[in-house]
Formats: sequence, C-alpha cells, structure tokens
Amino acid sequence: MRYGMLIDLSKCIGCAACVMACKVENGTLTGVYWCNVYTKEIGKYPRVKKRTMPSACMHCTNAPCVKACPTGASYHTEEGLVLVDYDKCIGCRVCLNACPYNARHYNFTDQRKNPYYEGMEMTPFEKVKNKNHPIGKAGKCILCKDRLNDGKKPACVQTCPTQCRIFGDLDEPNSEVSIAIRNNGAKPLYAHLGTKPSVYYIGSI
Amino acid sequence: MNTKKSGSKSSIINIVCLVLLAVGIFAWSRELAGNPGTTNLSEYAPWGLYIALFLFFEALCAGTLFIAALGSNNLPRLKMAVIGTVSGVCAGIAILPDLGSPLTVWRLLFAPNTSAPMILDVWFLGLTVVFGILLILGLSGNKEGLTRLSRIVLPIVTILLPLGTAWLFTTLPGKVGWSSSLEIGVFIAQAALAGLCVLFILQGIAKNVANITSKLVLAFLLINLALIIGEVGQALYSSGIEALPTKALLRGGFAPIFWCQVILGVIIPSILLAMNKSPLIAGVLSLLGVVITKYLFVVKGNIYPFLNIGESLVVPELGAGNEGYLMAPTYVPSGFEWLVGIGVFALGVLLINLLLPRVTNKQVGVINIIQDINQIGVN
Ligand code: SF4
Ligand code: SF4
Repeated sequence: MRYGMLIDLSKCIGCAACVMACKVENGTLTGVYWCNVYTKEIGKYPRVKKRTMPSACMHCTNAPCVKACPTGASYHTEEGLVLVDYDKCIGCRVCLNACPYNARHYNFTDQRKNPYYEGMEMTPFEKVKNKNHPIGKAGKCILCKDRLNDGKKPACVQTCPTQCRIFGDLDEPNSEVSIAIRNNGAKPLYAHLGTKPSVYYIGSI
Repeated sequence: MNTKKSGSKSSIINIVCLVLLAVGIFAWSRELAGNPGTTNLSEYAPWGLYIALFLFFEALCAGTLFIAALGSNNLPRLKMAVIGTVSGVCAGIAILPDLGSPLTVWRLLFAPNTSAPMILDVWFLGLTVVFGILLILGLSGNKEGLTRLSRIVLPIVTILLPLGTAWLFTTLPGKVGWSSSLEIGVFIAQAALAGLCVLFILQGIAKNVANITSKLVLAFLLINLALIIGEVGQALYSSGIEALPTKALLRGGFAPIFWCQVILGVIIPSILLAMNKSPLIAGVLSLLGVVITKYLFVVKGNIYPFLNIGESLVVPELGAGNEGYLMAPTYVPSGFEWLVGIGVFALGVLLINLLLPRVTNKQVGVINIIQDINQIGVN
C-alpha cells in the first residue's frame, strides 16, 4: 500500500478551496499553509496566460527530508506517508532546506501571540488545533491521516470542486489513481532529482 | 603595564563578556518563547546568522587545531589549541539557539539518524573538541602520550570536520545555491585560512611573525580569491538556475556585502601582505573575510527557494528576481539574532580569557593580546 495522488492541472481553476480545506482540517498556525496553490504568469502582454499549480508535500518514496533529518523525526509510515514525530524533532530545519518542493513548514511563533485575528484572542477552533503545532517543530502535510484512518479522503481531494485531484493506492495497479497516471502519462515534479514523489501531475507546470 | 593593572583590565573584559552573554541568553529566551518578530528567519530563509556563526567557528576550530597539532613550538601551540578548542565549543553553542527544541539536542548524540550528513558534523566536531582538550592537557602538563595521540588524530578530524559540513550543504536538493561541489574546496580553504590567520595574529602579537606564515596566509588568500573568481566565472558563463544565486550576490541586495568581502577581506589584506605592511591589520581583515564569506554562503542558499518552477511564479510576499525566477526577500538578522550572536562571541572571548592564563601559567589572556597589539603598533 502506498498512498498517492494525481493532480490534473488542466482542471484546476485556482479557487484555492483545497488550501482552505487543509487550513480548516489541520488548523495550521497563522501564515502557515501546508497546501498551496501557486500561480504563474506566462507570456508577454497582451498574450499572457495565468496558470495555477496546487502543491503540498509529495510524500516522496526517496524523501530527502527523511534522509537529512538527523534524529529520525521525519519518517515513512507503512502506507508511504512522510510524517514528523514531534517528540524527536529538535527544530534544526535541515528538512526545510532538503525539500525541493517547499513543502516543509516550521512553527516559529506562539499562536497565542500571533492569532488569526490580530489583536484578538485565539478562536476556540485555533485553541483546539493548536496542540498539533508545537513551537520550534517542523510541520508538513500529513495527508489527513486521521481522515484516512476513518476511511475518508484527504480534505483537499474531498473539497476540490473540479475533481482535479484523484487519490488512492499507487501500489494497486487497478486503482483509479494508478490507471489515470498510466493513461495520461502523468509525471511527478522534478523526477530528475530521484525523490520518487507520490504525487503526479497531468499538464504543464 | 604591571600585573595588577592587567589583572583588573582582564576582569573588566570578563564582566563585559558576562553582561553580553546574559543579554544574548535573554534574547534567545524571547526567540524560544515564540514571540513574533524576534527572528527574521522564515520558511524561505530557514538558516541564517547562527549557521553562519557555526561555520565560522568551525573553520576557526579546524584550521587552528590542525596547526596546533602539527606545530613544534609548545607555547604558541598551546595558545592555538586553546583558541581552536574554544572555537569548537562556540560552534556547538552557536547551533543551540538555531534549534527550536534545544532540550532535545541529546538525540543528536544518543539517538541519531546515521544516514543524515548532519550527524557527521556532530561526530567530527565532538571528536575535534575532545582531542583539542587532550592536546591542551598534553601540552600544558607535559604529558607526551596525550600530545602524541592528539597529534595523530587531530589532523584527520580537523580535515573531516569541514568536509562533513560541506557534504551536508552540497547534498541538500532543495537549495540550488549550495549545490556546487566547488564549495567543498571553499570549506577546506577557508578553514586553512582561518587557522593561519590566528597563527599569524599570535605571531604578530609576540613580535615574531615568521616569513613562512605570512606567505602561507597570502597563498591561502589568493586561493580563496581564485575560488571566488572560479565561482563567479562559472555563474556568468552558465545559463542554468544553478548560476542565479551567485549572480544575485553580484548584483542583488547582498551585493554590498559581497564586494565588501572581496575588497576588505581578500584584496586589501593580500596587498598588505605582499607589501609586508601592517601584518596585524591584514590578519584581522582576512579573518573578517572568512566571517563574511560564511554569512554569504548561508544566504546564497536561500535566494531561490523554488528551483525551476520558480520561473514566472507569483507568490505575493516574494518578488521576481534574475531572469524571472522567484526570489526570497533579502534576509537580514533581527536585533535579537544579533544579540544572541554577540553573546556567542562574548562566550568565546570569556573562555579564552579564563583559560589561556591558566594553561600557560602566565598572563596571556585577551588583555595581554591587546597590550601587545598596542606595543607592536601597526607598521
Ligand atoms: S515533498 Fe518535501 S517534505 Fe514531502 S516527502 Fe518530499 S522532500 Fe519530504
Ligand atoms: S526540523 Fe525536525 S523533522 Fe526537520 S530535520 Fe530537524 S529534527 Fe528532523
């Protein structure tokens, strides 16, 4: 079993619903977004195009962040997820430097001193989620592991209004995601780096 | 100047260092508490001043202890051993404020991931400091066995130390500014230069500058200049994204610091040495050049955080740079970071000031170094 995802860039409308779904599911600190939608501006006026590119942790099979982590705090689960064990994390941030996808994040500030609404207290939602983001630890997309345990899809996949994300088991050749990757010749980002990401893309980036 | 006077001046230095250290610890505690604005490090600039300080102290430690281990005259060797070992300790201390959870740092020693290159740093630095201490004990207590053992081990670990760090940086796929294998040579050359500068300054203070030391410092300054020219030339003739960080150093927000490093830290001391003028100024400027080089090396890695997809990418808080690739904002350490950094330097001076007179059984603390500089003057 290896969880993975396919993102069809031709279907992405750049609405960032996945970004908000991730934020609501995980309650990351102010300014920290585990899921992002980047935009690109291509061409020269008047022939300009805007492209969008959703991005988060690629849950690489050959993850440089796991290799570089000096304490083993970054690790692979049996399902191929790359997670961080906060008890082992010393906050050295070498994983932020190792990740070529900018998918690593870091809890620099105390949420009580930097809440979502400046000058206000933390909302009850923030208070509940805050314990999952201790100060001085590295964080990243956990592929909504609790939702997966409940048999649900990750929040970003569930929310995407154009269904540009397909999620499933990459080790199962007949899963929807494996078939779609095969049929569309989907490719991971920076395949040449040898990181073997579990997230594939259709369309040009 | 009599012993009483120099003793009280030495105490003043100790007190000033203790005050700076206390201020540094206070600033660190504010950072640890997660107060917004206490650090200018960010997800786009995860490493900054503290890592640069670590690299500087590491180079100083490796170069100084290499020379101390192989030297023949016991008193300068002992001074070099103390300065080198204290630098190694400062390198370790400089890393602590960079860690989000310093209390879990024991994991690096007792529960390491041995496939991580950072662990090489931990082992090599640990070994270097331990054998540095043994060398001090051997030289100060006339214990031949300890001195001989350190003489064998230190030259090996002091070469491995900068190599391990260079491997750590050059193998990180997320940072294009650190990927050049040229950096391995730079790390070794900088360590050699730093060690030679310390020897040169100590000899200058003792009014006994050996011609060969002066020539070696000049040689390594020129090697460093050649490496800088090599890197710049490679960048200017290359069109890949790998070339952009160096190009950004030449023209971007860090350009004044880059040119300051080249002119103040390399060219001026080289001219002074070639003309046999002001050796102390030349030595101090060369050492300053090493500090700036380390800082620029760290920030160079942060300039292009998005690699190839950064071309035409738009992230509102960041700005497009050379050839349309997204750049991270120029990292400048916060006031708190500076205070912590100064605290680490103060600790180094304090340790040297306390240790040197004890192990050499004479007044050779920092105050005597300053007195000697005054006596020598600048010629
Ligand atoms: S995308 Fe980055 S954080 Fe995620 S597994 Fe790969 S290297 Fe690690
Ligand atoms: S910050 Fe934590 S997870 Fe990242 S490399 Fe360091 S110890 Fe590992």
